[in-house]
Amino acid sequence: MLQNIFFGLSLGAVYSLVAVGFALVFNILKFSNFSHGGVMSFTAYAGYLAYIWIFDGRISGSVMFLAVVLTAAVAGAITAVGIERVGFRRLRRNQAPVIYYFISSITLGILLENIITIFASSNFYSYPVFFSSKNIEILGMSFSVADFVTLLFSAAALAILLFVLYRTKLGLAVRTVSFDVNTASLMGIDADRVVMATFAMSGALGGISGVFLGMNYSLYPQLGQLVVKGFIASVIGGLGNITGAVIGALLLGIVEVALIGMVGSGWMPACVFVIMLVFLLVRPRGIAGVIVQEKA
Amino acid sequence: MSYLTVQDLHVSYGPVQALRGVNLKVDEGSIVSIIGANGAGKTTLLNTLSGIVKPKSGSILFSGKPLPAKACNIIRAGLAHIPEGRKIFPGFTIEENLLAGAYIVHDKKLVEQRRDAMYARFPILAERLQQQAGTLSGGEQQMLAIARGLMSDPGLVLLDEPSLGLAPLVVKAVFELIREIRDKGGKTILLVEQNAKKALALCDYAYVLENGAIVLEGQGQELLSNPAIRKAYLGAE
Ligand SMILES: Nc1ncnc2c1ncn2[C@@H]1O[C@H](COP(=O)(O)OP(=O)(O)OP(=O)(O)O)[C@@H](O)[C@H]1O
Ligand SMILES: [Mg+2]
Repeated sequence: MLQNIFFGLSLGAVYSLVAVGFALVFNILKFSNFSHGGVMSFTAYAGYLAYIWIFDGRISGSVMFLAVVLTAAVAGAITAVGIERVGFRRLRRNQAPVIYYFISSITLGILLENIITIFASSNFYSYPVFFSSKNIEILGMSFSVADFVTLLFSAAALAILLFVLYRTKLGLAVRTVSFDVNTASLMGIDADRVVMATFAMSGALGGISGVFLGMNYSLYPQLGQLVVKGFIASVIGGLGNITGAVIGALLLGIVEVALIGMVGSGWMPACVFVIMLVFLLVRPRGIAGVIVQEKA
Repeated sequence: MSYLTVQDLHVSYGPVQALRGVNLKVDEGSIVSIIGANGAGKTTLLNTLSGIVKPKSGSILFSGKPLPAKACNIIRAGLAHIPEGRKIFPGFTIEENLLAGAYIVHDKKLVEQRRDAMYARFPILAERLQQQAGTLSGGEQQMLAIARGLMSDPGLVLLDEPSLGLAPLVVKAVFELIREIRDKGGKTILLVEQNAKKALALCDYAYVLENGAIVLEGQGQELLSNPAIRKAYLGAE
């Protein structure tokens, strides 16, 4: 039981990285950024390429893990910033309706996936085993090292992000722009730069989650479609709400593991979507959706 | 040379002409009002000054120089805009709202000093610094918007309908505050108002904007006694 909860939490931790990367962009531009999936696929491969081309034979184990994750995070940040330049900046200039952003993001996500397919199509790749497959024994229960690291690493990444958002000037700027671009610029905040920084943060998280997903499922071009998990978590937690996204993702992880035990892995995804639908219909603001009442 | 000089300013939103050749001057240390009906172009004028809206033609000189091209750099030139509808950040605490207003100030000590000065001037805000700004009353939100606008210590303050939707007593307080910002703070003020009576009584000089053009200008007291103004804007018979 406790073991399952732990496994669910570790799964949820990966989902929370996905969800928060997704929520960051929603928070500032108010659309569901499905190109995030493309970023995750791309960075999973980028991390892999760095592994075979640069790191292999030089380092191993957890140092290798860190090197691969960092490479993927940097690649993700650069990719996401590029995506913003190509896919969204013009739309922002023209103050285009949100639906255009949405379509542009899906298009870019599919485009990335297709480009990866050209190069990686029929080949099967997978990450090396970074951590010993030995389990940690605590109180008579055994936990895998990889799950432990996943949980710790995700928590650290999210803690850093929350610190940046709520304790730094950049974070203040991000939150200001997410309220209103024009008012932000009256404060002297350069919205273009803030949007760029947000995409960079989102992309870095996408890179980290790309590696975790790659470790869990091996590498395939559609890996990034797991962005849907982040989307579900965001809806459960309240779209655009960072803390909500984390809570939603952890819940999703636990619920998925529990559902596999109860209805099997075939029915699990269907059940999850039913839960999400219920949330959309009954509580569209999500768990954490406390909207501040604005007075006249 | 005036502090702010606007010459032959034209602004359009697509086919809609919002400003058609506006000329105005604001002298340093003065309070200048712009009055006009709904849709006259008052907000458009202020938004053009602060760079949110780009003009089609015309010139704006501030301290004899053109303003920076990017909207976010205008406040760095010393021009703060307190926008229509206050636009405080509702999910931020009061403290964070003030810090956002001082975004361009890099000296932390200076920011704290100014913040404390605001709390001293607005005890209501000081009592609730960790409260979400969206939960403040309309009057308190306006005070916060003004305090936030002053955090960058601007030379010129643009105020768009600060009395909108406030109870008479609070309106009175807001107008007294505006005078105080000029008298004690030494700031120059360009005020847009629907409350023509109070705005004309307060200001040194005023412009009347109709359909995107200035149709009348003069000293506040002078316009107050102008029969045409009394009829159109002050509700006199
Ligand atoms: N973003 C916009 N897009 C298109 N037209 C606009 C826009 N903003 C303002 N307008 C039009 O420009 C004209 C001037 O509007 P503006 O908001 O400047 O008036 P105002 O004098 O501030 O009015 P109010 O007293 O109601 O605030 C109006 O006809 C308005 O419909
Ligand atoms: Mg207006």
